[in-house]
Amino acid sequence: MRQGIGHSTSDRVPLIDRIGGFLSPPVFFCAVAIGFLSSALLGNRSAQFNMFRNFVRIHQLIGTETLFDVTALQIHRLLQEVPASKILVVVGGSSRLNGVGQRPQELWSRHLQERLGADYAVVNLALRAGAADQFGSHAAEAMIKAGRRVLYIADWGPIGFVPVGGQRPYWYFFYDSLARDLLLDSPIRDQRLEEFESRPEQAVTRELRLRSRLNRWLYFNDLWTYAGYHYAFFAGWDWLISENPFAARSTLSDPEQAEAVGGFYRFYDFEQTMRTAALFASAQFANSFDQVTEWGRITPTPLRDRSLIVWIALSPFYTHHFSGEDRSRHTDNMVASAEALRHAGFRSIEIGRDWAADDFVDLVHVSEKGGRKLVDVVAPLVTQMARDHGYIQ
Amino acid sequence: MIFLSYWFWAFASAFFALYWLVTVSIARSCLLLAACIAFQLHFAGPAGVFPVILLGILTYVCGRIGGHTMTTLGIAASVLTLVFYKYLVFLAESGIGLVLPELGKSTALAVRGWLPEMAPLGISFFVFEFVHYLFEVRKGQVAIRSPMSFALFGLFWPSLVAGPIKRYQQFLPSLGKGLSRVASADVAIGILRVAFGVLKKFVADYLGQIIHYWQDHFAELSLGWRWGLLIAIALRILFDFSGYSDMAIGFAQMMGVRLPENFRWPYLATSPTEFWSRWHISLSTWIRDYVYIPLGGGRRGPLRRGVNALVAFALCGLWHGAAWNFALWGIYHGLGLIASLGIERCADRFPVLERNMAIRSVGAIVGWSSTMVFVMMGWLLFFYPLSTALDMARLLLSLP
Repeated sequence: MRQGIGHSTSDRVPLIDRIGGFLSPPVFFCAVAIGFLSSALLGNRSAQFNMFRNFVRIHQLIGTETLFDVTALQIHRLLQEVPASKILVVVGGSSRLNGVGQRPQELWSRHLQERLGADYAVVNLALRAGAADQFGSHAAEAMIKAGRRVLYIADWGPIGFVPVGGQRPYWYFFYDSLARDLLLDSPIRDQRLEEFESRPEQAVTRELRLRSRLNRWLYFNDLWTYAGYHYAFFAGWDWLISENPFAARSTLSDPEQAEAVGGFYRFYDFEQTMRTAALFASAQFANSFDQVTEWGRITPTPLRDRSLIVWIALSPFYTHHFSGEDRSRHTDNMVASAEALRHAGFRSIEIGRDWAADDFVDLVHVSEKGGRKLVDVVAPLVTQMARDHGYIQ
Repeated sequence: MIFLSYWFWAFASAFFALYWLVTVSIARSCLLLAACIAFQLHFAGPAGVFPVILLGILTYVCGRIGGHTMTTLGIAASVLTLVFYKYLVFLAESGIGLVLPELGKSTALAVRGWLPEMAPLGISFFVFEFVHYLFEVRKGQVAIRSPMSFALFGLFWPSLVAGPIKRYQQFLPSLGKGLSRVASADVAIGILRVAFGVLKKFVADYLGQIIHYWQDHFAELSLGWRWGLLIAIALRILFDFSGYSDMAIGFAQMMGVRLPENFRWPYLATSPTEFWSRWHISLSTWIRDYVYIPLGGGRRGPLRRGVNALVAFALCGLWHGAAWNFALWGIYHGLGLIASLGIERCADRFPVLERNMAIRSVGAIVGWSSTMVFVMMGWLLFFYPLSTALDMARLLLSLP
């Protein structure tokens, strides 16, 4: 009799049971075990050498933004490929040093390489929405631990610094490095991490740590990323890769191909950008002294001593429109924050206050022309640091 | 995403290794119970476990004492618990707020202050299973004697997250078998089923990312792509929900325990009636047995039958979430079901149609396509606020 809803059909044998009927359990278990172990072994093999081809920087299509999380070991292998005879200059930080607005062939870090010469190897690991205390800093730390001659350059991005842990996009890299025992000892960082993870609301962070620990032995992230880079990628869809969602990431070129000269972006919603500029000028550096001191404390000394943190001013196209109060706050904060960094043990420089509007492509990002100016300031400092550490005579 | 968390996979690996290693039935029971408590404690925290344990004890005691009054009391306690945790804010906002909007807002705000941030994990499933149990005991079925068996029925971890909603008469014998012996074929099929479930979840998540982006640009899409996106929405909920069910059923089968099927190719249905015999079966049969039939079912004439179906479906909709769009989705399906039954009844008057192969084939194609359009349009109500859903429907039909 029809009851209207919920006729039971539970007497039918589900398809999966019928398929399962053809299985021989011992063979199936062997196949599962072999498949599992083979995947772990393949992952292990894939992580033994540098997977990147013609690496310039981590652009959007090979970054977390498009659900592509390069692992700590893969970056480590990339850096290990640099001959030990060269001084390794690792660039970290935010989109400003990543070179948003600059074409790969005109990227500031390429020009830095040219300026420094063959004794140095510059590797740009700065990331969009990244920060000085993430990703690149951990990659540099790992290379210091490996006994290499390393210098680290980063910018203090508008995002600032978040105490250890956190749920920012690139923290997976820290846990990945930690699980693989790539990082230098830092008891105070371990203590801060323990305090942070013990908070009940940090379940996501604990999960991240567990993932990294499992990956250390099973290499699933390494395998997945390697396969995605060289063959096909199935992890997820993003509008940035919507035209070619299954293509191997190595075949996708850096999207920053057009020259974004000064003024290209700047008229985009001027009022909104001005509000952001005012916010950056004041809030960006709020409490920075405490933040920077804390960062200095948790950063292992060998890395801190080899770090150069660059403060880049906001574009004068916008700061020109600041009120007198905002302008002086912008300047005061920059000076004070650079001083705070020095106090915390980092080498630091603030630049860009005398730059022109076309040295920027928008409020924060530096144009190719500005990139040359950046090189002019940074290159002598790098050489000086190399000399100070006895890397060169 | 509980079944896709790393903690869960570490937990499941350790649990199954021990479960298969231990062969004594009582030891397996203890291990399973400990695992169920660990699972609930990890994902819900002590604050989420406490109300469930209290409600479980009350249900067990009411069932053991039996009788009309005690079982009714137990059912009322379960329903009130569900209302308290899941629907109190909604009732304050939509009930009081309908007449006195300001008072509704302030009451809802106050209620939010008392309630924990999240309802206990799987509270809807607990309540539905406890109500089923007490209802059956009230009808004269034998109550569960062993507290251990009752605890395992209530807390069985594979079905805690997204069902299927179990029936104790089927579950306990199956659990008994699983505790005493696990066949290797069951383990193999269970693993295969879990793998299918994980694959479905990946596809669902992939589709979810596409939908998440394009739903904001729906008006800019061509008509074909709009329908494409609607199909993606329909597939996503199927893969997401049935993927979870597959994993639950698979994990149980790896213990030698059979859980009821929840989905049977629902998008092959040729009428809304058939759709509900294939979609979320454990919920639809629960609604049928414990809401629709007690309300009178189809026994008191067509009008009453229609009203009962609408009430049952509105509740079915609200079960999915405390918001009007869910209730509307339920009523929409209730109306579809009434229409579908009407058409079937009319068709029954012309047996010649049934005998003609060509007419039957055309009827099946028309039935399937109209059911799919009906069901897919319904998902708009399910996922979006009413105004957005209507806008999207208008764009799909190219209406001005």
